[in-house]
Amino acid sequence: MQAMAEPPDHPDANLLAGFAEKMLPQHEQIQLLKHLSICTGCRGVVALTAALPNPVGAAAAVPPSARWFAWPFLRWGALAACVVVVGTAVTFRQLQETRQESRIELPAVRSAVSAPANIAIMKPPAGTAAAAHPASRTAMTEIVPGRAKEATPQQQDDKAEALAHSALPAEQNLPATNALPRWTLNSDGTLQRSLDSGQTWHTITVATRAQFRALAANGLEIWVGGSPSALYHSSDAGQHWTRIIPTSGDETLADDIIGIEFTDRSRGKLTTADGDVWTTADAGQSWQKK
Amino acid sequence: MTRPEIQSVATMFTGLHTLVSQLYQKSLAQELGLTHEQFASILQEIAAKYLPSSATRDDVRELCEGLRVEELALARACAAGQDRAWEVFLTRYRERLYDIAGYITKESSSARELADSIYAALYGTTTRDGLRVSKLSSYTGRGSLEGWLRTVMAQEHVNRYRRHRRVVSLDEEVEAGHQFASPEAEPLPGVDPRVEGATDEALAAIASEDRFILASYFLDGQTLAQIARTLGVHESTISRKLDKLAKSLRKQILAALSRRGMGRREAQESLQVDVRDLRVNIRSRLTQEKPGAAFNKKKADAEAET
Repeated sequence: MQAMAEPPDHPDANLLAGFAEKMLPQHEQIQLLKHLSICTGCRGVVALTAALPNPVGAAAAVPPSARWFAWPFLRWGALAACVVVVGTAVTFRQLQETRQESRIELPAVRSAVSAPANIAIMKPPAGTAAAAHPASRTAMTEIVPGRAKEATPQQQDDKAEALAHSALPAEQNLPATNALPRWTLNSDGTLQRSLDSGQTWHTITVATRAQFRALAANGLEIWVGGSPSALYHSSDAGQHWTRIIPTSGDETLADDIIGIEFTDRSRGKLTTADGDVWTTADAGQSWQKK
Repeated sequence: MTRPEIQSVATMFTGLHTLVSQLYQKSLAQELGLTHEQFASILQEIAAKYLPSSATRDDVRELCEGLRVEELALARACAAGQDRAWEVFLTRYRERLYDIAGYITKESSSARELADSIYAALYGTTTRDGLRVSKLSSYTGRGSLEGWLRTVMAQEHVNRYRRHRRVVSLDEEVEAGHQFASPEAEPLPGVDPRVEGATDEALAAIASEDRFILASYFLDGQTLAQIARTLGVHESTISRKLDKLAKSLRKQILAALSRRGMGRREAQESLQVDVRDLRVNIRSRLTQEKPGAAFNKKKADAEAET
């Protein structure tokens, strides 16, 4: 038996911490892995630190500014909007009856008209029949392996309902301005979107069990991928999502996705944790495994 | 006397005044009592530590822009003895130190002892040339300060465990039922040196990450979930990888045995009749350190509870 020599030059705590937090550049991560693969002591240290809860100050799933759009506030916001809508409608009718023809700008009515789904549909209390269908919580369409399919009318209704249940406030409906959304992934794998050039961020619920590690955005198109073998696509900046299950011949993508690149709307490439590469030239309708 | 590598890096920094100034502002170092020159000197030291002498200005820029400068300024200001910095550090991290120690040791008195010893090292209870030496002067901002503290505590915990194992009382061992005068050891079944050579060859050819997974699983006894957490992937990914690796290794070993003149049937039988099955064989070939030196958290926790 040939025992190898004790590995020299153990990485210091800075590098081990950087490795555990995935903050090192690729080439240093690889060097660290090389050392860790032959050094029990350093592996023990990394394993210990990885087992600890996330550090204080790690990116929160919902930034403080987005707390105003959490459900309790959304419920009361929506209720207040309903009151405004009803009050305004009554006032408008009265004005019509007195035959005044001056045009009245009613921002509250306008926003209600532009986003009726978000005001008219209230989240049902827990325990009711509607609440018992968590599948509609995310505007997600299950896709038969291999091809992205258009949602059926029932699925589109589900999407509309899911929009009401999303973490977004009514005024976040898109696209009211020309500003393109910005995207980011938190360290816990949740997806966040900003519509004001990064000043405020909101968590986007795509799928409850998925932890995302890669994304690619192009205009209003966005692809997110992660574990377990999760791949989702939205063509309206995250308002609605479609799950994609790439297949190539007899093979179905079953690994975690760690990299996504889309050079334009149609041509893209996925990289999996196992190092496999899957490509598409038709916006995910079909895939080839390289 | 300035080290040559710091001198060459200092040369590169002459063209990066704007970057250094931007980072100095971002770090809030001034509020913590660090001057611009002190901050620039810290950046030069870090660049010299991690970059080769052939590094370019872009390499320096990339490294510096990736640093956690605010935490770096805090740590180095503490190391420099700035009271204001210590107030901030204590407010943010003192309780966390004890929490982290608790999670690591799982036992309150050991946790307190560990946290106190680290706190003393951070404060700097030793002096050199009349100046207090603080462990915080070795923080370089490559990861978060809290992540660094966790790693430092984990390292200290592992080192303490190893020291304890070396000096464990013989009386305690006897009382615990351990026997020292072992009977004549049974001879291990002879292993064909070709099998050892083929296994070595197969293991040497696999990627570092794969070797890391094998070592973590077979040598360290880590669970799939623990390994997945370290690498930032799903547990099922590690499970699939292990299966794939075991199959691939078996294939590689058989191929290597064939190259060593062993027939296919004989090669398959040698892997089967070896009383140490393929998994055990991998374990033995992965071992790099002397027996007994490995740190196993499960074992450490179990011993702490008794």
